[in-house]
Amino acid sequence: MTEKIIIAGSGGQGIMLLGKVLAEAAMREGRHVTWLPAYGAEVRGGTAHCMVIVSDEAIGSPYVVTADTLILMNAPSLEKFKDRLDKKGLLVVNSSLAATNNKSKEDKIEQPFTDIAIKMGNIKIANMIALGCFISRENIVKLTTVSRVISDIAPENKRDLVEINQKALQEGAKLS
Amino acid sequence: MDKIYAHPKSLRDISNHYCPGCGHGIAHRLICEVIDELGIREKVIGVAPVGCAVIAYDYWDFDCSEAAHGRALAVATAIKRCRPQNVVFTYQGDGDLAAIGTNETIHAANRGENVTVVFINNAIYGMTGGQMAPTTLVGQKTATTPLGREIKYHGYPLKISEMLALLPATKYIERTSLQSPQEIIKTKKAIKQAFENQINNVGFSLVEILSPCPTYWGLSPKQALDWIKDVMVKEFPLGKIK
Repeated sequence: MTEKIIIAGSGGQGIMLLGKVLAEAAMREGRHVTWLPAYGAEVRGGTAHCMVIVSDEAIGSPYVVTADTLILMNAPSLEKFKDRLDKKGLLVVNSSLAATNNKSKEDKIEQPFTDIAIKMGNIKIANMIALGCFISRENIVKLTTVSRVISDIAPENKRDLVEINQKALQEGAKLS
Repeated sequence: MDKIYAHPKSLRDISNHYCPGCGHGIAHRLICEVIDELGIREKVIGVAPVGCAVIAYDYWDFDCSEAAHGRALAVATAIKRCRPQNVVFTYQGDGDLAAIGTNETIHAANRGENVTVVFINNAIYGMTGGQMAPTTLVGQKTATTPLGREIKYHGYPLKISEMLALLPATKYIERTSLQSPQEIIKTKKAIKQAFENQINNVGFSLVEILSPCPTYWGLSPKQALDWIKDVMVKEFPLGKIK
């Protein structure tokens, strides 16, 4: 099985980290993974996206043309990537900042990740809420593996943030 | 009531992507005011750098060209020699002009190309993540000098403007800053002089502008302005160099 995911949002929303955590978790479970980041020139803000591929076989190219899943965290990203979804794909949208056309027939999850993050006390954990939501729906990796990755990869000076990121992951999982 | 100030016509009325407290927004506006006042909007061709201002042409409403990193003066040389009737200027950061582009800079200056150079000196590499630049100060902490620039390993801050002043073919070189309204006014005067020199066929003219980069200096926008005033000008004195 091969799962191609595009994750996009604005700079500062933790898009790259979302992709890296997902890729690391899949790697720990013995899958082939690639992670391909794309940044704008802006130092602050701007757009950011990454392409994550998880596969049972070796991956020839890290570039995703048509995605099986889109995780889109803001409106410009929805605009930019909405046509890149496979007909049978899953669209995950941060409804706090982006609204889909309700008539469209795809399989979708629309949840207010940013609003939930603010209620939890830190706007920056919206990415982990989205990840938790996606994982519990699609099961391409185990939630426990992702949780372990979050604990392991936090740098020394950010260890105090591990707890709220774990909570965010669990909150997201509850949304599915 | 008379309208005494308006948004420059040459500056697109859109918000830009620069960090809060960045000097680019001010520098862009000053150039546009000068271009409007000199009435050269139809004749001017700007050459954009590679760096945070790589898409300066999104903000400037006049003809522009891109250039490979550091090669703006080579591109400007070609444009001006093919089209001497146009007013050609480059807008370059310290990496673009004095690191990767040093070669083009020295030779365009030495040939005395009749162009205008706006040199934005923020003592760091912005877009690429805050690495040490030729003009980084001794002791300044950057991504590639986490313990501070050391003369023994990294040499001294490069005084490219002073070096270019030694070349007989350079005609006007001045250093200004964006640290206060008074300094901003002086910067505008210098930019205007540099453009007028080209129009009057005087020759190679360069304005070095000390500009704040709060993000990579690790300072608030206000602290960044103070750092220019209190620290940077001691290494890079303001005034007419040539």
